[in-house]
Amino acid sequence: MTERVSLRGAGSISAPQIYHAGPLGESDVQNDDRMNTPTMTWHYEIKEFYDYAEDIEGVNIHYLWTPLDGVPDWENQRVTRFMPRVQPSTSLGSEVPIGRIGGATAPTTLRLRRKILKLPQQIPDAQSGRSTDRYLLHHYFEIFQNGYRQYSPLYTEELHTKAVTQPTADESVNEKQDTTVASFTHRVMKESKE
Amino acid sequence: MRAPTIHWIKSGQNGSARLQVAYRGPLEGSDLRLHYGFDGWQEPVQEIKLEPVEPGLAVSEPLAVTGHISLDCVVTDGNRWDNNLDADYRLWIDFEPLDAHMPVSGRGAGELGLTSLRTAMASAGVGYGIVSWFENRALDRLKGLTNNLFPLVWVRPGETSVEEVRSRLSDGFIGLKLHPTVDDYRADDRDLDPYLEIAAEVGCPVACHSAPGEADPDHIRRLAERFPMVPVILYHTYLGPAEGRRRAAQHIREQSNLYLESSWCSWREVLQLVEETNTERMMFGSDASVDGPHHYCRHPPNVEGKETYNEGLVPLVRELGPEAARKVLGDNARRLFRLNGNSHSS
Repeated sequence: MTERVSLRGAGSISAPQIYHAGPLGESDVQNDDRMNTPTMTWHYEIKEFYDYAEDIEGVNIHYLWTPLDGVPDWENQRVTRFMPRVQPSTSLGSEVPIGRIGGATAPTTLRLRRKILKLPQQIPDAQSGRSTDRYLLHHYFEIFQNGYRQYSPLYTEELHTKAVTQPTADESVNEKQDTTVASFTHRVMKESKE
Repeated sequence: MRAPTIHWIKSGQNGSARLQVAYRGPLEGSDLRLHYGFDGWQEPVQEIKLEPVEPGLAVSEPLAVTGHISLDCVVTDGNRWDNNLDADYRLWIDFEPLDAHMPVSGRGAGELGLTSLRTAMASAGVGYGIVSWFENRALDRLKGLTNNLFPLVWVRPGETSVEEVRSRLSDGFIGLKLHPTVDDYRADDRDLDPYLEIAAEVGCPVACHSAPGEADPDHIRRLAERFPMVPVILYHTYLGPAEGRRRAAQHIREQSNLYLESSWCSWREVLQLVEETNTERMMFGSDASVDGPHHYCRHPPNVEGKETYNEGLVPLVRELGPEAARKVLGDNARRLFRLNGNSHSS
């Protein structure tokens, strides 16, 4: 699939306006290679999307990360994840995917989608030759509505995973309450999904 | 249900079949003509009158189709043209393909909706399709609108309830769909087992996106090994470099419940995969209509950047020969999904 789409309203930090929008089954060749590097722990970011209309038929989040001065290479480094709808909840990690609720048909009033992105704690810093726990996360949403495919603006944010002073798993959960960027161990993450 | 705009009318005479083209499109009148060519608009392009039979139906005289594979056509009333939104129409001679891989988001008007899919199918002469979507509820909206699209239950392990899977499989859904890449799990994840157990119990196939990473054919094979009674289809064969396709073919040879689907593979690649495996284990699919109504005939070409589906299918059918072509372009999927077991055209 080779359709090219212009991303309007891109974020202020980076400005790649054209990218390759792959088929629904787009592969993650390079991302998976990167994901499988021997990282002991991951950094997790929660992203949410609220269905603004009844006829939204699905939402994907596309993301990648770059060094602070890096330019996103959507062609080769994009990760695509479906965003499932969840039941809103007050406490982190206790959300319930709506497929688990009752019968076969989900309540249409539940419009919150949530995905937890698995990100590296550190990435290589080309300038220093060392690893850094500060990098940019770029993401946008692909929204399927009434048979059409639409795209959100591109969002870019700086992450500081605090990998060097990484707290324990339990401390991480507590720390999430008052920080916008938090790290969890993989073990804690698995528990929260079960 | 809506009848196709263009279709064959078959009649027998002295032991040989006669093929007439029937038109049920928007053009009407006494000057309707079919403008047509064979096997991908090969010269000579010809015209034949379409005689009105009843309101909304006009039929041609029998066409001489011997030696040809497909008919490509448009219709004119002398002033206007019905060319299927610039995608043209296609009919296959002697069989009607089934596309084993079609994402459709519901009845919406966009490129991923039913209208777009219908246009695309008419442009390629695809009469039937196996459909799926990220959210199963979207396919509920197709109910009563079609009788030629067969849905799969999209399974997201840990999120899709087994009750929903059972319910849908007893209500017209014909198999399961897995997409480890976008749903972020490995294709051999143990959390899939409850769903595969249902598939084994019901006797339905499982279609799994195949690509580098979580959806790698090596993982899919391990899943198939755990459930040897469940047919497992590698959607796309492998959406990645050629070495993955060779590995996928190797798995097909070694694991008897694995099957390949051909979307985004060039026709020569499909031919090679059939040669590496066998004609029973490959099924045609296209991912239509993620590229919209021109999915099968899009320019610039969308299959490996070098050909369209419509361009590639004619030489593929010719190289495969009639019997193998029927299998690959429909009968294998019909057999696996228990959809009458034949090409629907006889």
